[in-house]
Amino acid sequence: MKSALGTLLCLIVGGGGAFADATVGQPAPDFNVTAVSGQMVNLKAQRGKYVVLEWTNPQCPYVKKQYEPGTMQALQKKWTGEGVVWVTVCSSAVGREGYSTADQVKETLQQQKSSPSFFVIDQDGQLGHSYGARTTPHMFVIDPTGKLIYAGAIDDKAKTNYVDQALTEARAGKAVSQAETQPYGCSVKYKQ
Amino acid sequence: MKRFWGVLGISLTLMGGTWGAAKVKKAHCEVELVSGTAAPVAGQPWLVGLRIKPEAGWHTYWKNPGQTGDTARLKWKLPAGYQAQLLGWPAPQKIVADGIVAYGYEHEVVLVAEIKPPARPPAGATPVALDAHWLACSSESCVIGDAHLPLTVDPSWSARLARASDELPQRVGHAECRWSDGAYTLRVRAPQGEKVEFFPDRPMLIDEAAPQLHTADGPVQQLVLQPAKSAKKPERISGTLVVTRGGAVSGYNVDVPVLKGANP
Repeated sequence: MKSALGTLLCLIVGGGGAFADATVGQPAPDFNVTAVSGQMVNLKAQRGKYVVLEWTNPQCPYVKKQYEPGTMQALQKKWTGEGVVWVTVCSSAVGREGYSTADQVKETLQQQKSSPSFFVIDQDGQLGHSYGARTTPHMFVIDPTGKLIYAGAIDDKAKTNYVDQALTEARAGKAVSQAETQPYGCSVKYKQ
Repeated sequence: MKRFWGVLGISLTLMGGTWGAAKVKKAHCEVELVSGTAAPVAGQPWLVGLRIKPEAGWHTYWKNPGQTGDTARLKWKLPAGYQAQLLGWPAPQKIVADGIVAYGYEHEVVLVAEIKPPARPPAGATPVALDAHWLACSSESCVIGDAHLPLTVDPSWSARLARASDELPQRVGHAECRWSDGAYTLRVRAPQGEKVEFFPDRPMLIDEAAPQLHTADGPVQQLVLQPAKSAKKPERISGTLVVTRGGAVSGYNVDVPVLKGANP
């Protein structure tokens, strides 16, 4: 009975609306998904590490702007090298812009020379909706306690990369100076 | 020889602007930089406009694009001593796709700017140009457009730009915003219409996707706005109230402090 009640509470808490939205300063919504590599990615299992979530759509010009000059790849390389778990997510529905099968994703990753820790195909949009991901790119940073410490744009379109800034500040024990920014780019092509 | 220089003089005057069409079709939009004249009265500011017309099914974005998209960037190319200032943004509309709310335009807009010449401008035409950078999206994809636009001169634009400038959102006479019971109540003195909506000019003020409860209280339009899911609560609310009345759209600019507690 006790465990049934526990499960019920979890369902209520985890259920949320269509756009549950992750809130900065609050625990990041939990997830348990399968990556294209076949590995399971469980947020709770990453406690003790920083986790970056990156929403993507390889056909979006704002995503291309990050990948064509190699900016996003360099950022992934830098931080995964520091033990950060980087999860790239595509929430495009089947048949909509950006949707790719696992094989196509593997090919794209190779072409781009990008190396996230995991790539997740979220074709039903569940993970995207639970974080309130709206644009590509749309970035989230989670601290080792599971708290969301950054949500928003990849950069200020000029000099500051907000993800780099958030990770640098947090790892130095400082508060994240710009913890919420307005993401810009293409809308996420969710299942209709 | 004299005659030759005369002709050249006229050609150079005209070259300050391009006569006829200098329209660019790019990124599912038709864009051009327009003015009624290329040789304004010396020392007086004059109007130029960036006309952006998206293809059917495509849209561009307001100064605050909302939950997605990106605003246009304008880089003026002016002779030394000249200054350009955008006079405002036409009233936006909500563009909703898959539950994501953007602020923009599914129709043609003209962004009107005022060019201020120096106190003693050189004689003749002023070479004005604009590097425009914009995002156009349909419900399925987005394309970034950029274009170097020389000035297209057509005398009919003088009146059209003056009208476009008159139609820009106006400053409201009275507005007030209160925070109570977890929502903002915005009261603005503005005419009643079949549709009354508020567009914040900054992100993280209100929940752009939440319904806005509208009631009319005599000459005052009241909207209940849900806050953004943000850690910080703003001290001011600013943006544009857009009233649609008989199909015509008018905008009212609001910038007010957030007062605490219910209406006294």
